[in-house]
Amino acid sequence: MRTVVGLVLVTLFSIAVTTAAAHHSLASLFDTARTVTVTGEVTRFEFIAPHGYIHLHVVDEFDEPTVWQLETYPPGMLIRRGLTPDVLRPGQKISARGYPSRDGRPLMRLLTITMPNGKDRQIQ
Amino acid sequence: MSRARSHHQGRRVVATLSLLAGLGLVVAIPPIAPAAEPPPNLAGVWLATSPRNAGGANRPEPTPRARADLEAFDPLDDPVIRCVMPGFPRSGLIIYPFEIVQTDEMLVFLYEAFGMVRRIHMDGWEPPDYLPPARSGYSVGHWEEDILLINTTHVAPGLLTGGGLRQYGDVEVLERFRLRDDRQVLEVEVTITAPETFSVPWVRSFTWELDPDGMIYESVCDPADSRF
Repeated sequence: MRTVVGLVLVTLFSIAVTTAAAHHSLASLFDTARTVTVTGEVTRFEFIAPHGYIHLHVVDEFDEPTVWQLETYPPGMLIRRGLTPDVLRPGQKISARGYPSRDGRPLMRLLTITMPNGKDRQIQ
Repeated sequence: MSRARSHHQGRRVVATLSLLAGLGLVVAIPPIAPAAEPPPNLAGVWLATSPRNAGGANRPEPTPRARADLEAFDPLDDPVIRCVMPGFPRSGLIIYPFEIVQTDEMLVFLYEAFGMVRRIHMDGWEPPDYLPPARSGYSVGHWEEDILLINTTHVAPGLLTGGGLRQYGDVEVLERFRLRDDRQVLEVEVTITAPETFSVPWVRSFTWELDPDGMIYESVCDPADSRF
């Protein structure tokens, strides 16, 4: 299956989930035993509750495009972390690391984001 | 006695006392009772600082009924996915902040998650038995020196954790709030008693940090936005 193998780095981490998602059960819907990292271009930032969603256009080594959705905290929590739509805009290139969805969709719970200036920002 | 006559006599008494006071003949001033020490001020926006992992430390072994429900739980059946506010205490122990508005008669807890509101009655009110169960229950509180004790009952059946641990409408929650670090930190010990779920109470501890410039944001959601 040609997916985003070239750009998705699947790493096994034993990360303690110290700040669980407040709404749905994080570990039930996302695989918290590992993380994935994707790099691409922001196409949309849904700044909504109970979870925000950053849409990321990712192209793999075979030029196969996939739109990943990066699930975040709701707007209030993102404001406190300085991640707002005026900071993260469509067209920007970023990397995102998070827990992949258990159902295999290109959907992750965002943990950290590498901003266009190369600086990492802790989201969760 | 007519009101006019009574009023007239009252004025005469006041005039007489004023005259005696002027002559230095009235010196006995009733002592003023010392003002009661005001309770600690919990008002403000509080940001969660301690871990909020849903599994929770010190969680007692569930009863056979709760264990069976836990194992049969499908996370997609969690009502929060449909934007239904989780009930207390689950909704009050998560990572999202809350604000306390404080008066002598009532404390109001305004939660960012799902816009939940808890009214903590401090005036001796007790919820009558006929009240229907509520997602956030009914809460009464009182001060024991610098500790705020809140007891919450009448909580509607629901999930205690997002992982599928249930309570069956018999839950009672005792919270013990206390300020420390010069009012910068709020700590609470939460005792969750739910005999249908645990044979012994589940005791948890959390801390928050005061955000002096903070505010609570609306967090109302639309089920249509859910990805699950």
